[in-house]
Amino acid sequence: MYKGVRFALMLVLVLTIGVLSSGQGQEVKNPDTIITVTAFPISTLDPTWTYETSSCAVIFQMYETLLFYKGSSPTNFVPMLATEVPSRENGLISEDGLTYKFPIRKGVRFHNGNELTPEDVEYTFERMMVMDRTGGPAYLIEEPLLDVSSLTDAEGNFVVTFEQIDKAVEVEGDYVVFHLAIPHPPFLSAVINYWSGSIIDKEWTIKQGGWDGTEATWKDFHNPAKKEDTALFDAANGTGPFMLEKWDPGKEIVLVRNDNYWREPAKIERLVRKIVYEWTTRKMMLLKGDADIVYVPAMFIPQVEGVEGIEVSEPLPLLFVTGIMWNQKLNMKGNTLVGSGELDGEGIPPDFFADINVRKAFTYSFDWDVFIRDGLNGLGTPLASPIPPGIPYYNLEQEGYQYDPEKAEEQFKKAFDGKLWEKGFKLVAIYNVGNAARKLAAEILEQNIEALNPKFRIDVLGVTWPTMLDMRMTKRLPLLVSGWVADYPDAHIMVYPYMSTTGYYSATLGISGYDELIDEGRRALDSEKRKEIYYKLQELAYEDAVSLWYQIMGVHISRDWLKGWYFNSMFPSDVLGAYYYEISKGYE
Amino acid sequence: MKSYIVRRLLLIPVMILGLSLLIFTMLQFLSPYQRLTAFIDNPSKLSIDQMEEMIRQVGLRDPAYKQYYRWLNNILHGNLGWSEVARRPVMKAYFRYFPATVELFLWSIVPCILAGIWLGVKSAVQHNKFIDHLIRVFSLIGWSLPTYVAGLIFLMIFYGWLGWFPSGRLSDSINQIVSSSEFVRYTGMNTIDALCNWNIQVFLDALRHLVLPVITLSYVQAAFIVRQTRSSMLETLRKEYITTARAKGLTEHVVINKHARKNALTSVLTAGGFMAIWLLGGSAITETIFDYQGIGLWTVRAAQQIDVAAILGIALLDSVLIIVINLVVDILYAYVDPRVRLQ
Repeated sequence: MYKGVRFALMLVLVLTIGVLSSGQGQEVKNPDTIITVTAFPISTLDPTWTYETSSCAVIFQMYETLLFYKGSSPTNFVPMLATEVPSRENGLISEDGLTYKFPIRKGVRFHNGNELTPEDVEYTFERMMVMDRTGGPAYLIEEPLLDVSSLTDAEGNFVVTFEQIDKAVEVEGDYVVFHLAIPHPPFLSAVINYWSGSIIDKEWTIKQGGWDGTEATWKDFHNPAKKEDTALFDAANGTGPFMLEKWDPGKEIVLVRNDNYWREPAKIERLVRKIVYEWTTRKMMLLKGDADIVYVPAMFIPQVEGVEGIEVSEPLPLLFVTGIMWNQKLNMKGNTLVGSGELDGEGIPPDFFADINVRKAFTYSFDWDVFIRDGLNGLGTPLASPIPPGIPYYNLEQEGYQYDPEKAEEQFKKAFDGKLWEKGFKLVAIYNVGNAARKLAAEILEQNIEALNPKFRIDVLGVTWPTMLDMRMTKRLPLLVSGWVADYPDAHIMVYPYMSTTGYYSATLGISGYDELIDEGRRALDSEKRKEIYYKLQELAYEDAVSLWYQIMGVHISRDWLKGWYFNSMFPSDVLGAYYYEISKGYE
Repeated sequence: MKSYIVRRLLLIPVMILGLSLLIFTMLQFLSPYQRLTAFIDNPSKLSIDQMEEMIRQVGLRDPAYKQYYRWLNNILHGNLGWSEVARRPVMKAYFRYFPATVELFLWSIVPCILAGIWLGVKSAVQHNKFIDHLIRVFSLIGWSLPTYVAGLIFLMIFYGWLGWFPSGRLSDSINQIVSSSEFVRYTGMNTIDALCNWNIQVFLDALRHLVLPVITLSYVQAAFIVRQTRSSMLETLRKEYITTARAKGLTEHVVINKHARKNALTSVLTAGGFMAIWLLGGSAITETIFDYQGIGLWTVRAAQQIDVAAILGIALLDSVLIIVINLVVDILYAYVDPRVRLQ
């Protein structure tokens, strides 16, 4: 009886899913409101603090930058709070690339009525540099303006003075002038992106308890430990088309239209962003029209494709690259993932992946077709290097690796002068629980490599995210699968984390030998020179089999009554970036 | 009785200290990197040096006793710390989410217990007859049905298909009314506050959103109560004093309701107590499925993200709740069964 009851229940569940996979033609619900439902709560409203997509997706609607992206292009700009796009031709960028001038628009008001002035712009960037919080986005402007990635060294001593910060950004009449310490070709991208360039109201920020802009107090506001202690944690006052109505952290945030916006007011009156963790609930909300846009994990996209009333875009290339990276310098202390720690068939030595033949063998063992199809639902593209299409200097002609078991075997036989093939090895490949794609990546390697030689053994193990982070930070992971989103579309931003000795990933993986080229590429002003350098780096990434990389594609899923959405890879969002100013609701 | 109650209440600070020490010690087995994850918004953008800096800032490498002292000192000043998951102080978060859970509890427990007892008694009295089998199938389904399956089925049928009962606590348009300055918040429970504000529209909307989570919770729990009551009732009905009561000519109605049922309820009371604790602790699965932001959902998120402050705070506040509930159950026990003396 018990089994019969269970079977009956499962049958009901399956039938219900089948019957209910229909969006039904409907009247437009909540015509004045766009409801976005996601699983990622925002962490702060402070544009100077935030460095994650969810918060930026909201800040993006309330604050504005000096320039904006032209249509779908992530590299061409139009004026926004500045009235011209600086260039050498119009004289707003100096010949040596060290001075950028932005004429500031007049007649723009913040949500509280204060008028935008060049002093607000100056304050915005100085505050960003002064705050310089650990793990924050300040380095994006500190690198070009001060030639440092942090205001303090490893011991906590300041390596810059206030005078340097002060002089880096200055007001000259109606202009804000940036004085760069080093040439930085993508400076426009760095200074106008939503991570580091949202313009705030100086007077209002000071009233909220923020830094007063003076030398006397700047160190008091440097590197706050807690986001909730910052002045703008839960308050917002931008120049954007929407303003904050209320924020219920972890539940929802509501923005309302700014009817005093300096351009035509937005078409939609309210934006609501809700947090719903359960996919089925989000799906129901989308189908019923109680949500206009929802976050859909890749594995569930087929559940909404072809459903009436739901629009699913074509796959869109995100500036998001994931690497399957080999650890060339393993920490063996207390490391349970490396077996015996020796090349004796029961483990791997610390320099296992330092042997290029091993890296190439693993690379040739990876079946991209299976991975892209089954792990990413077709939403991915293999890459030869960490530079994806859409980033300047991406080399379309660069050769990449294909799955080739014969070549893999050949490389394994060469590794460690033949000892590896003779002795065998054993290691544990980790993935974070819940990430099906990363699990599949590990299993593909396991299956294909073990098939080559019975002495080869790879165990696949799922761990929680905090555990994996711990293993990564302590350099114990033999393989690391992790991604990087471009802060702005420039080759340096993509290459640095994966190939520099101080890169976010490469530093924990013992990867080295490319620093000189990386630095040269960052500083070169001539685009042909930069092209030559980044092409070389892409070639080296391939020849040295540094890692495996793939580009993530995204899909925008919404109700079909939303109009005006367009894709730009630089728009922040976990639901494929919407700039809601241009979006309306209705079937006309 | 009074001294018993006082003694039990005096146990609370001792329990809190012991429990906090236990949880704190267990959390120390996690590395500082693992405990740091609660503070990180974007781990892929952090280098090792930056993580070390954050660990230092938050004090995660300080000796365990220092960290515990810091936390305890804050507790004594009414500060349970900051919940990264809730993005607000733990105490505020608890009182933000608790009313939702209490509301769900109040609307669930009454029908659950009443229905469970009534069906259980009915089933026992009509032992092996058709009605007994029917009730047993009903309770078997409820007992066998995982909460997440029941919840999803109800969600898909009554929301996805019929559109009758949506998820969440309120509709978006009603939420605007409740968020306005004209609506006064008294308890944080939407149905109660709606009645206090004489706003029938809000009341009905809140009720509509409660239907599915209440049914999901009640059904599963009622099934449990049915089984307990039936079993206890059957045992009681076999007792000699029941035979005597019947032999003396008392009507079946009097035998069941005056003699048998009351004595059968003691075990049900214990089960009810456990159920109340479980419900008030927050039903994580139900709250997740129906997007019902209560203690359960918060607890799950806190555990997943190792939000230490939230984990400790929830554990401590819930432990106070458990002690109080157990005390109430003991008192009710003494009322139901005069043979029990609270000492």
